[in-house]
Amino acid sequence: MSSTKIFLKSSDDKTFEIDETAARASETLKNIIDGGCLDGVIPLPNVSSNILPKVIEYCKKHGGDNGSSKKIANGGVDKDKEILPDYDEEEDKREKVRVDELKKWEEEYMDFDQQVLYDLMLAANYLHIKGLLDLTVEKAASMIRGRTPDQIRENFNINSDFTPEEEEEMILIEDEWDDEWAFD
Amino acid sequence: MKRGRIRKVDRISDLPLNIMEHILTRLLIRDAVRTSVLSKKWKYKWVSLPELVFDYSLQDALQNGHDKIVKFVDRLLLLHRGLICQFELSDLSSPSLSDIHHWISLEVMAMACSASSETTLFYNFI
Repeated sequence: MSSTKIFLKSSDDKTFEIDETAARASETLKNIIDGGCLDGVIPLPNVSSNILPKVIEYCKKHGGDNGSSKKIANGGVDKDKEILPDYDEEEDKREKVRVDELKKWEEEYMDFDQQVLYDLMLAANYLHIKGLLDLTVEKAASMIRGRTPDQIRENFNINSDFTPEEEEEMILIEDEWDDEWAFD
Repeated sequence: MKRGRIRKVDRISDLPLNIMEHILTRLLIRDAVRTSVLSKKWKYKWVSLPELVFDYSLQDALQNGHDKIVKFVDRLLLLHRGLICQFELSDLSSPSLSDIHHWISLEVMAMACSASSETTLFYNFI
């Protein structure tokens, strides 16, 4: 594997170094590299220097392997077990350890405040880093899942901006859905 | 409703559509639909979700069974806008064939307004 260095320039003109193999975790960067348009430094006008190191940290960990998160989602390597004729139990164990380690790493990696979550989400979207986008949107989804509207507004500082008339209408709608849903 | 409270920045409401879609598709359908009451910006965020999955969790929520599920799906399809790539019904207590035909006709009407026709129907009830 090549260890060519790539330089990324943040929106606020700070330059960061990343291995080419790590940079390939991003589809956008991969296309730039493969397209041969690499001219020293890649400018990233949508990613600030606050968030770029965090993005690089993710790319380094995943080193161009976009499938790692998918493997976790599919329950580790078990799915492939039957397909492989020379299935190796030791290899399976090693893979399980690797997946567990990655899950732990992701847990620690994702420990940050909400503003970072949005910046990271937008950066992952812009740079097409699927695994990172999955992780960040899942965190946001987990703050909505099973919560009441008031709890969700509180979680995300959403201001209910309906006029009094609309608000009444929304309450009616809410009640109507609630009747059907039999909420607690 | 809590208008007097000092609020921090709300950034989630202004996320790009594709990110919002990623978030909402990770929720159960009833949680996704409920976001419409959060604020004006959220009122129609769920209506263009391309994947509609009605699974066992809906049956748990709609405790009175059949009629409510049918009513829920009806109502949701009427409000839905845009392409539906996946329409999945699983483990629900026996919607009748006429219900399904009705839903498909709603679907077809919706699809007539869109260029593509990638609707997939999964019937998974016994």
